[in-house]
Amino acid sequence: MMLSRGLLRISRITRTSNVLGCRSLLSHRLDPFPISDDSSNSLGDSAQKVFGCREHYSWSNPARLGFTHQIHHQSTSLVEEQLDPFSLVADELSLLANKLREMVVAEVPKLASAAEYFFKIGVEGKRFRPTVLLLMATALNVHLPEPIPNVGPVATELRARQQRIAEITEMIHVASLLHDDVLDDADTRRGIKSLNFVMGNKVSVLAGDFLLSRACVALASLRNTEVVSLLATVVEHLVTGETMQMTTTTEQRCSMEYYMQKTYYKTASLISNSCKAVALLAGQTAEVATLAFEYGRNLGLAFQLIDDVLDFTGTSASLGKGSLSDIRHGIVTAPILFAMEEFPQLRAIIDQGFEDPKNVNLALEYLGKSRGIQRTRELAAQHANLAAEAIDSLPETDDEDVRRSRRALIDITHRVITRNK
Amino acid sequence: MYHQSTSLVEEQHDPFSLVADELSLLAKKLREMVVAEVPKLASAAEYFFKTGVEGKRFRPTVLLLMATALNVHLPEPIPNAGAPMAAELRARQQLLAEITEMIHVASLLHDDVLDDADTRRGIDSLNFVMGNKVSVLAGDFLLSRACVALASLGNPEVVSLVAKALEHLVTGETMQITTTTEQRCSMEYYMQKTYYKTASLISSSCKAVALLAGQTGEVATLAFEYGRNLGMAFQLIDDVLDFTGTSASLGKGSLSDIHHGIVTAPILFAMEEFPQLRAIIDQGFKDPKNVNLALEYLGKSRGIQRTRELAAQHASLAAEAIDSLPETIDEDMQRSKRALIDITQRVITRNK
Repeated sequence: MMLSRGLLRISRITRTSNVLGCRSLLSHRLDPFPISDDSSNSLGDSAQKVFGCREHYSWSNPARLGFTHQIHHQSTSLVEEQLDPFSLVADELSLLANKLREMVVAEVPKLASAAEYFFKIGVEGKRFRPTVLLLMATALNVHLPEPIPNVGPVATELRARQQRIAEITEMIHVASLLHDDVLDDADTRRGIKSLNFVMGNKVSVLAGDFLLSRACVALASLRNTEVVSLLATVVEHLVTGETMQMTTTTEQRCSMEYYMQKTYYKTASLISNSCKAVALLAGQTAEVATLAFEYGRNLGLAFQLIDDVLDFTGTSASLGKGSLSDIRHGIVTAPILFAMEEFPQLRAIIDQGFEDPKNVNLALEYLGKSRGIQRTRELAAQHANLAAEAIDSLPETDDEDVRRSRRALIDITHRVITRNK
Repeated sequence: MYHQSTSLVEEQHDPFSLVADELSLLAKKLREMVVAEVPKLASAAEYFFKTGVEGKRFRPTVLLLMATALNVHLPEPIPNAGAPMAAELRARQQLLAEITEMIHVASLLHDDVLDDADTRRGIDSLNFVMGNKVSVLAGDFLLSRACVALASLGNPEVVSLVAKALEHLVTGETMQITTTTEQRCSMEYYMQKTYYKTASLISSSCKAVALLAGQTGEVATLAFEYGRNLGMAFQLIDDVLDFTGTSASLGKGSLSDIHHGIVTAPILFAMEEFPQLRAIIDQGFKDPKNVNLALEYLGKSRGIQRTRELAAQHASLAAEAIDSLPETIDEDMQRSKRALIDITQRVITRNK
């Protein structure tokens, strides 16, 4: 089904890359750091673990954030401004980060050591999800039919609630990371029986529980039943996805369908359901809420697929320069699954497992001969397109902020697939 | 069941039998509710069946009895209005009992991961690793199911209440794990931790039952107080039994608390009479000599008795809360109230 949809979208891909080229041109005038810049652009050195990947990835140069903070309020019918999407919500993000930090430290000082992990990974490195959610919130601003005095407080309250979704999402995400980390590294455990090690795990479990319970309380405070359901389902999906990954049979490991399902659970569900929650809080129609959901879902899937590629290629276009962390952990991802379609003999190697480095090399060979990497990139591009289309399908608006945020959301769909780390 | 006027005969029913049928239904529903898409989660849920459903009928029993005890009566009989509404209300209260159980078991699953340092040392098999991680995941799974069910009740205040109780469980466990030497010897800290770890969930759920029933704030508070005092009484006796076991004498219990370095009420009371016990506590209980010393002091002190007395006080307060509920002539309600009071007695007289 994906393939046929993909075929229909090939023309879109071509069109998009033309637009991309056009945008890069424009961006050069407003932004000294165009998208395709290869130079080190990491937002934080703790960019690992985004979407479960173990790679560094770049989003934007902090210096760039400052530069592009000045927002032009020109009419956009003539000029499409190329803004760093992250800069649009930079202030709100800082606020969010502060709130999360204060909350953990103030309430449970002893959890500070786990919180440090949380700070590095959860607040500094992970601006991705909250950025998307805050942009979505603006992109879905419902306008009241006629200007009502004192409408400010109502809008502010809505915004506060949507910010809370972003906080909740982050808390759930980090809680799941903390819990995933517990005993992920079987190698580290063997031989290490010190109480410190045990305490480390205890603190991870507790810290995760702490964040989860806080998320629940915050969710409850929104007093929206459907939103509570949505985000509770996310937790269930995260657990299911992680369990799927841990307990996969040999058959399932070689199934693209199983892999995509697991990827949805582990990576895309959180962002898709929180996008939908943002829409629901804004009192949007079910149709718009679905579009928001689809944006998040496709964005998440695209992100993970590129993650899979980068695990093999790293910053280089060639194979084997990546961390190869997935394959070493015995996790079979999209590139390998595609390669297996062309080279069925790869199946036997996968079944043997990858403890033996010879098997890793063999697999890489097959992968290199196959179109596995390219096909994964193509699939990612398809999902990125679908995400962009979802935004394009939103009801028309002439509000400048709304339009700018929508463009930013679409921009993100490009960055997700063009990034090199 | 006798439907005589109860002014003459106070029937002594086993409180658990009053709700036995509902409990079976609840057990079945819980089982269905936690069937996971992933088989491995289901196997961790089996733990949940053994410990959560068979052994722990305590909480759901209390909640179902409370639901009956708080039945709101419509002012005049309305044809076709009574039964469906009443049935729907009951279903919601049953769901609340299920939610409470799920949260409770989730916390147990996580606590087991946190607590069992002894079993973990030296056991490194992948099965063991899988076991712990699956325990954490299974706990998360139950929590998420509980949250979805909670949301479906569509009552924001109930959602808040239960979410708060969840936070308290975590806080209580954190308090226990991260306690300073000073805090370990504080009765106030101990009682606060006990409230968080044991009483908060049952008190919040009792209150939630009242809110679902559309009861007044006053009645909801009484329900809360029942749960809170019952929970405290329960834990205090638990502390005693850990020392005494089924025997009245010391040291026959499992002594699990003291071996885990957890200082409970009996020891705290003993420390008031024997300050030298403080030094032993500070040293810790890895050395069996310290355990024996502490038991000696405990035996000489009134620690056990005072803990029992405190438990009895809380049990009384719980019973009083029930007595303070609005009068009723409804037989079922009266029977449930008596059962709830009966439970306060059983909590403090039990031997195991």
